[in-house]
Amino acid sequence: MSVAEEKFARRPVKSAASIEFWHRHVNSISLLGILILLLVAGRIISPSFLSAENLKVILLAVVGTSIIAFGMTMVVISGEIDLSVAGVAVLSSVVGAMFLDTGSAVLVVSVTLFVGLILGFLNGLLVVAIGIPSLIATLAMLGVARALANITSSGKAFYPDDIEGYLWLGRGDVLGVPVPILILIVTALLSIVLTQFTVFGRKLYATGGNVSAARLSGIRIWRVKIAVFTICGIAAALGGILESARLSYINPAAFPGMELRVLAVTVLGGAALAGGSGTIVGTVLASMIIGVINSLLNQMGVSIYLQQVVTALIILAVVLPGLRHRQVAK
Amino acid sequence: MTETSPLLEVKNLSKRFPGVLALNNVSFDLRAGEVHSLVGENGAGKSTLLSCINGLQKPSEGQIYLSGQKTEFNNPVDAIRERLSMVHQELVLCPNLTVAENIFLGREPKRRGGLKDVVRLENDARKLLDRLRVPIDPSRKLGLLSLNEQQIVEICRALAADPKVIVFDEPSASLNDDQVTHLLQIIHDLKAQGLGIIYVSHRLKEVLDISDRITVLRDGQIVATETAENLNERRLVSLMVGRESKPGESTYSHRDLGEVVLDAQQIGNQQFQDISFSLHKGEILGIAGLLGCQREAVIRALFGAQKIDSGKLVIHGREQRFRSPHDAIENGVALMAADRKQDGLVLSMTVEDNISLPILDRIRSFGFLRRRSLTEVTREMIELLAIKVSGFAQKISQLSGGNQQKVVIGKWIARKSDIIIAEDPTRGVDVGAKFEIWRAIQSLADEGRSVILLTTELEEMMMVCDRIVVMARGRITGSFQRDEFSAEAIAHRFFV
Repeated sequence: MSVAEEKFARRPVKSAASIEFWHRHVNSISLLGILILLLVAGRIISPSFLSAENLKVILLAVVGTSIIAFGMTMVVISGEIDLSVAGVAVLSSVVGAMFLDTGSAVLVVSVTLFVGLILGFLNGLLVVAIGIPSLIATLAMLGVARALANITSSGKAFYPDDIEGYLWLGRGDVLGVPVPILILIVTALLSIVLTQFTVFGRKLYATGGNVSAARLSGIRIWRVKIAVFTICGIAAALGGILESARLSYINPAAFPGMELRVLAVTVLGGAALAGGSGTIVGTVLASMIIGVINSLLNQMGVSIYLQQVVTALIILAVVLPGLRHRQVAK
Repeated sequence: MTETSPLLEVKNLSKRFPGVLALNNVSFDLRAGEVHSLVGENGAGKSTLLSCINGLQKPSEGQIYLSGQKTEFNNPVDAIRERLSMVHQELVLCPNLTVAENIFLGREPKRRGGLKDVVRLENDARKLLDRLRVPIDPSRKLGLLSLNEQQIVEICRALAADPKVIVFDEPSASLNDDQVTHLLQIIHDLKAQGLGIIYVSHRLKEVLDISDRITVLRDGQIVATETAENLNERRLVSLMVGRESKPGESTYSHRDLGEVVLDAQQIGNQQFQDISFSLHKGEILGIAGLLGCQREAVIRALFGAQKIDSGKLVIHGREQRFRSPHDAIENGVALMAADRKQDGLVLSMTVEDNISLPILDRIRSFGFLRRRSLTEVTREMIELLAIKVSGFAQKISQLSGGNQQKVVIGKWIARKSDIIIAEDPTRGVDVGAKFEIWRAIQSLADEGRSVILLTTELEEMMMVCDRIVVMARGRITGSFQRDEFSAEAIAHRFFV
């Protein structure tokens, strides 16, 4: 006791921070280890695996999923789930596409993000104000949003070929770095700051960790939950924009099964569906792991269907020991 | 069956939990055609004794004999098979099934081919209901019955196994006086039919009324077993509470009380009615009462975690209607919740995180957490309460129960609220830590804050409080100034 006291007295911030670092990041460090192993394996299989070009390809393939997964991670930390992300991404892109005629990329992008925000906010309202479990509320939203996307577009796709600003978001680059990768980095940093360094972040983890204790500590749970669903809606819209811009193709039937890929990345990143745990760093590493695995399997000529099986098995293999650890900790 | 061979006999039974001796060498017997009651304060060991008798828990030492046969039940189903049934305090029935289905749940008579035999089911149920002389239709849905009638169905369920012994665990807790009279009549009939009945209740009047013998438990030991004629309420209470205890002067310091800071004026909701009291600056006010007296609901209402339907709550001279704990906290009210795992702490977070939760609005700038201020506050609380941690960022789940409890208290002391509601702040805490917690609460009052205190043990409350109000069944039944404190007088108001 006295030793501990002395230690705090001398360098309190540092010692606390270093222990905290280990506690909070054990999971991320093991994911980083797996990622490095996979990269080494890739280098052995193909000498060009670690080339800038290939890494760029790998990252570009996971940008959309990753950004949406940041939103999903926050929702899952709060103890909820959002299955509507693919629907939100599609509907917001389609509504945005209706403004393609104006020729203004800024307008199209703003409308898309705004629709994402509104849909996310609605998810939050359904869960908080009406008290519908998020699994059901967001599943309903998924169906409704997908249907509305088809209805408003009459099932036809849009081609934003004429709007350079829009295409730039998917295909452009700044000093040789592709724009989507820059956006990925910026959103990752923003999400890390929001969850780890702000008061909101504390409220988020407390809400997911123990709703009752959080409420009795004066945290307004409804605000936290509406905020995370809204953030997740915006993230879904942004992910939708980047994917559509990359393909130059806004399709009302896009992103089938996206919600499950996003959820898989989130869980692989260390977020427990019970809430209260998970980090953005974990999610970033998890989506890179998935990207690297897919790239490896591609290079080995494994069929796309078999790739899905392998990816699923790897997720199980990584998540299972973690689950056991969590149960012991409880 | 003769008077000399008891139906049920418990010999030298002890039950040990880690660190606690819940039952200490208890011997108890029940004869056929007898009502034998068990009384004692909360935590005296009644529930533990009952759960050892019906196989829910295994005794650490001692034997149980049923009709002279040594028995060891592995679970309550074993006990029912050996004709020992229990009527629980909380109804464990299915409201969506019929009365008959509930009575024979898990033992439904079947026709060949596994089909349900509805006719026989309802006939058998009717026979049991007739035995209790109650006109309930066995084909009605249970959910349509009154609480009292549901309680009778629960008794029928116990009778369906044709028991020789029935244990009633506080069956009257949720019944009104007329319903209690009816229940006692039923028990009287069962007794006349030659059954042995163990009866547990906090209502001493009815215990004295119905019992042949009464056993008093205190701190896991039997302090008396006597025939009911030799006892009265006063004698029972003093047996339950033990010696007349004097308020310990060690931690109490006389303070001059200031103005009224919280004034409850006839507040009420579904769980409590007509609660009026005022709390002064610098005062420690205890709310005493037994399980089910709804004092927990009252403090949650003061804290905005429950609605107040009627009456006025005035805090610092202004009427308040809190819609959430957030509103209450903003107005200087704090609640240290008793159940630290459920309500007090976020176990997945660190010590520092948990302390930060009530003060997040004070340690932020532009939405960012000011870590340096938080570290300072955390260090202050750790020193004040002598919390043993390996680091501020240690997971709270790795701390011992006593230290977790100190964190709950620390996080609210850090908030510096004027009105602090402390609910059982020493629950599950050892003696040394208890002292530190009482000292911390005392010093809050010395600084001019006001405290509302709930404890399980009356003695602790008498040690630190300036005034104690007593609640029973959702109402205030008494109020005592410090110079009037007497365990016996206070405990008497529990049973009004």
